[in-house]
Amino acid sequence: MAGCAAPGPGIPEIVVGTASSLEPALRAFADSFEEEENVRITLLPGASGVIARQIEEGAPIDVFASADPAYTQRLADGGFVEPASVRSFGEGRLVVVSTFSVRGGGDWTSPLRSSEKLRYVAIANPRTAPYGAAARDALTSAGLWDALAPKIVYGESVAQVLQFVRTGNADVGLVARSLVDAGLAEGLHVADVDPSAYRPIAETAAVVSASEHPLLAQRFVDALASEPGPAAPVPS
Amino acid sequence: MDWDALRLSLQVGLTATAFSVVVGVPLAWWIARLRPGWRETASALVLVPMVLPPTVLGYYLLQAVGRRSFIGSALEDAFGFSFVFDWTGAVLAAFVVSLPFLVRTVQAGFESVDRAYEEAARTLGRGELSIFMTVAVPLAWRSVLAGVALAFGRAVGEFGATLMIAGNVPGRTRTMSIAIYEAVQTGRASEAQILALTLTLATLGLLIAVGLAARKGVPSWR
Repeated sequence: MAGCAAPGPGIPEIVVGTASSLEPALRAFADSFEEEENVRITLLPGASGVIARQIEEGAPIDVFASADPAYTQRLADGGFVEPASVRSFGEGRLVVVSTFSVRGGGDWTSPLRSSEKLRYVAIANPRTAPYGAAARDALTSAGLWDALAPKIVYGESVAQVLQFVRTGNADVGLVARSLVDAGLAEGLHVADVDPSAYRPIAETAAVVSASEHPLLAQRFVDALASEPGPAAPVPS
Repeated sequence: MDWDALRLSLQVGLTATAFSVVVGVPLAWWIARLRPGWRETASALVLVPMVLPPTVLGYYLLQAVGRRSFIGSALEDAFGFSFVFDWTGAVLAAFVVSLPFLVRTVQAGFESVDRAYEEAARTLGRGELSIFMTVAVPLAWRSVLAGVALAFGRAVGEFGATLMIAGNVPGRTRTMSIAIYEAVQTGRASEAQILALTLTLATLGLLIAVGLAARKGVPSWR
């Protein structure tokens, strides 16, 4: 493509450091973008805080996609991503996944109140993962945090939290709706967390200042932002 | 300073090392006395956890004692006990990775001891347990201590398998190595520095102590 900085032969590569929660959606988007732009997109999933840290340490990442604008802001303040390149592209939702169903339904807190079935509740590490912080906020505002504290275990990211629950090692987990929408929670019971119980999770993307393909990276970010996202609320 | 993490690291490291000694020293003696061929096979089997990536071990351990596994669900039904997300899971992981270091080192010690001493004890009518405790172990004492030091070092440093089976639970499974990892990832550089330095000094002190004990020679129960 004209305009992209790829002097040598071969196809330029854009490395996207992405929050695990965004990975399934980004993977589908990246596939179509690759076809249109003659570029190779590599996704590097992890917790937002961990990836932000890697970018600060000079990891060869071109685009930062996160579920917490605070990390994007921190990177912009530190000069690690281009402030003008930041785009918001969706809003994340928190869900409760459980290995068991609750008789009579109830609201999203029901699985967390059925104490006899509950040994471990997994959330992402609130220190590194936005969905972990949102999960902590939601449990606190529901008045459950103190009672559940001995049962809480931290996953590295929402992806690991989901793995804990899928393998039955944790009974309940709080993860991103996007993972459930991508079909990764098959066989589990899912309930949407009341959105008023946690602060909105704004998904943002930005171009890393040290990127060797800034124009291409910006096109990826812009295309992502103009995409009619799958973030529409799911009727229950 | 995360004192919980230091306490937990020492607790996990010492418990795992104790299990390694109880299982590993007799195992090393047994292997050292196997016929050639069998001995190499048994040695190789014991070494497997040393060469596999810790993540593979973590995966195997989850398969073996995870809450849905045969063993894991039986333990939970019978005793309400689970290795997963528990400090005992960290001990299990540390035990599995440290055992080969102990067995390998101690086995070499037993193999270098002249078997004539044991044969002499046997002709004098001593039982196998007595020979093991009063002849074999004292003669291989330095190797035993070296094995203990190596096993403890590996147990304290265990990270990958621990993270997979025990997770990162503050006060319960967040050992020093996991606390350091988290501190670095979240940009708490000074905390990471203090944790790393503390762990380095603590293990260095312990290794020096073991070295001094080794110089003093055989314990007095002989």
